[in-house]
Amino acid sequence: MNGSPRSHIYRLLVLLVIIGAGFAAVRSLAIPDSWDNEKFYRVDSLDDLSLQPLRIGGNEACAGAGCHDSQGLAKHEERFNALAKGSHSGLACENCHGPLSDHVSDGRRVASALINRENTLCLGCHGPLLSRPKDFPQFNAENTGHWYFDVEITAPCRDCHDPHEPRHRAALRDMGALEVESEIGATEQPHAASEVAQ
Amino acid sequence: MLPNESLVNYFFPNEAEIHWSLMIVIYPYITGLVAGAFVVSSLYHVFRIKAFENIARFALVSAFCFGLFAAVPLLFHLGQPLRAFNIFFTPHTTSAMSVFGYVYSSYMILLMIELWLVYREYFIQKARETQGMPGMIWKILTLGVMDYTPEAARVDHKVTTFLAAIGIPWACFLHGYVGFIFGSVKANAWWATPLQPIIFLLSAIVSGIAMLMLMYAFIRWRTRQAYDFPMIQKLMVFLWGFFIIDFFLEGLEIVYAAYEHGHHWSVIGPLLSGPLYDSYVIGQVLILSVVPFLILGYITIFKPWGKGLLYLANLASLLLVLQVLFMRFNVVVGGQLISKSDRGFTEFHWEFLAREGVVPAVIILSAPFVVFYILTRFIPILEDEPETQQRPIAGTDNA
Amino acid sequence: MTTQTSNARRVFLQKLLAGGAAAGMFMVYRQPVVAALKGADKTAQAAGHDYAFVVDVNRCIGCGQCVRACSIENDVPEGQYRTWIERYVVTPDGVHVDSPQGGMYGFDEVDEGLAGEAINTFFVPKLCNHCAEAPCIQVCPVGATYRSPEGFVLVDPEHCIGCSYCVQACPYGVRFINKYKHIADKCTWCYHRVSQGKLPACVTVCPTQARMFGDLNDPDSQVARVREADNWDVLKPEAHTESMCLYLGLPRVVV
Repeated sequence: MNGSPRSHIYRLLVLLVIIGAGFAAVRSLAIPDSWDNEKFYRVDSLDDLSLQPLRIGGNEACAGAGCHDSQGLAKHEERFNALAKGSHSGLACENCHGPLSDHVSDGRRVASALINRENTLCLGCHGPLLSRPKDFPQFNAENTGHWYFDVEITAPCRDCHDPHEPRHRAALRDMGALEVESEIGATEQPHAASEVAQ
Repeated sequence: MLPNESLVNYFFPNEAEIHWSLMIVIYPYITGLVAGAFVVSSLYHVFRIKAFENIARFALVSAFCFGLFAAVPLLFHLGQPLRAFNIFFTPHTTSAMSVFGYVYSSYMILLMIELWLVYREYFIQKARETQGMPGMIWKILTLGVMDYTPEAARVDHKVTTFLAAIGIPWACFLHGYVGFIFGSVKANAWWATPLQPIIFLLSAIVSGIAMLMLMYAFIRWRTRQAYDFPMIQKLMVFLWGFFIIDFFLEGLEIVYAAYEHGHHWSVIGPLLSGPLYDSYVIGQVLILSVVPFLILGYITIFKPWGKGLLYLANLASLLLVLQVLFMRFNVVVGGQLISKSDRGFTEFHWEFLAREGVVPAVIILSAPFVVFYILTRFIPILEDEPETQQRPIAGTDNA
Repeated sequence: MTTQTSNARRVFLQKLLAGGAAAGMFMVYRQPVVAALKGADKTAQAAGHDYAFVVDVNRCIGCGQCVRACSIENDVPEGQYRTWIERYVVTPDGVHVDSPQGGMYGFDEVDEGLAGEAINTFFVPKLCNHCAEAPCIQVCPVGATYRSPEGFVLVDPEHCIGCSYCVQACPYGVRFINKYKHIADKCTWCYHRVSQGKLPACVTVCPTQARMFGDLNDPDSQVARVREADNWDVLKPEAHTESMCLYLGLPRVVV
């Protein structure tokens, strides 16, 4: 058999073409259908990502309509409104009460919302730290009410402060703190407790 | 000393773990050996350097054996190795890494074609001689063409030369792109330099030449064959030449950074005098660069012969094979030690049996040599071994 | 071999090559044609929004609520962080930076010696900057990470091969390989929340509104007003990543 001196090269080329065609076929089937060749990504992944379940509801989810009204938990609404209007209005309910998903699932209550009365919760934000902004209220044993009542950092904050409105005038007035404040004035340096008592 | 007036060692919370570990150290090492061995083969096939005629085929087979395992460290490293083929399906060409799939596979095809052309005569001879299943395999390897005419031999020679010629830039691309992968990362001060692809390529050639020297010496020692001293001498001269350029460029990069005294030096200086001092200054430079430089200089200038040449060549080659491995480690891991906070360094933790541990790395690095050994049982590799036929087989068959 | 069979063979080979070429063309162009025919172009639907994030360093109190909320909302593995808080203490001798567990449980007070030396000290929240010229997108070898039409830089969890190149390329250290999913992970600006009209979890829980999120195309949004006021900075501006995370009150020492 006299083949061309290049016949082995031709056979090799045929083999390569077959492999190449097979590969091209596999590739074309493997590229996802929603692939955007210009921006170069799988567009359907946006849908996949938006399906991630939510854990935190945000305050709008705690607003109460349909959840707490029907059970007559009016105190919840009272606290919600106090929070919304007062000095803690920047807070999310879930900052202290835990994520919504721990409390509610599929529109039904699965567990009580977390209630933490430890002062470590308050001090997480209000504990004195050098790096905190100077205009942010940090616990200070020398400030007006605290020095007058000899409140130390270990004392339970809840005894005087309602977290939903920590400057709630009624509560502080009951304790006599507001009278002290009006006597001394907000801008004066606090005196030692022994001096005032005289 | 900590960078940028830092009082404590600080790194970003996500930097506690280094992501590119030993597998990414050995990957460029292996592709470097592929490129380096191929260049040696091309020194004969393209540049017609007669001294390397007897090792050209051996260099090609070695390149192939290393090439077989180039992708393995990557598969060990990927978080999702089953999706590895995405690099073929949707290669994102703005990324240097995306070219890996096609460049690597096309290069292996080129290498296999060149090997096939070189061994075709031998395959045909074996297909005629052997029966049964082995005979079938040899027949398949001939693609059914059972004669080896002088004209066909001339065609093979032309194609081989052509493939060896385009193989050089292709091998350079196969390894150079790895340098680009590192050199183009502006976020990493130790990696980012335009010199990176050239440094990687030159050290690859150094590692290839040095590794071939060690393999050659070992094989000739085990098979009790004579050493080709003129070839060894010339090979060491080339090794010295490539190494000088490589070492010079590695040093140049640091000199520039130190001189500019800019952001890069603010982290590189503390890196080299701190966490990387032992493996870079002492290991890579003093022991593994200066010493082989002097040995190879001695070999080139004073031309020792016989056992002296052999021992010196082996010593220099061993040191350089390690130098390149150290270089890969110092670049890959060293760069990641620098925190992107510019205020500290993170730590590298050695693992042994884990996915990117020392044990798998050693196994993967050993595998090409095992395959090489297996191949020697079937095909002749170093030219003057008994099975080699020197004359072409007659054109007509028995029909 | 006769000339007839050799001709026949040549013709066969030519047909094979032609057929193969035609099939190859079909294969190459099948997918873009299918994608074009599918019509529903998400890019058109989403057009119009251009989101950005603002961090006000002057307001951050280092409480760590954002880090905890993000971790809960997004199942972030322990020891890995989609967002974190850094504390800087600047002294005449140098800078002290720390971020204990990303600031997730707040900070303990700095020790007295350091406090005595401090000229300036503050907290800096960090998160993915969702850069308009993101180096992470540039280096992804398979197109698993991308920038959505509204400005979110996201990772396709089905396509990512976990090579970590994006982690290396990010100048801000915000990316990591999720230790359970073995794919690249990072802050997504809570895409799953924003696409339902909510805010990212960290923005929702920040007690001092140090974090803000909004649409630059909405002139009434806080972010649009901040950008307009032109008193903001970005991290590592020399990297030219066109970061979409604008910092207010960013001290020079912050990297």
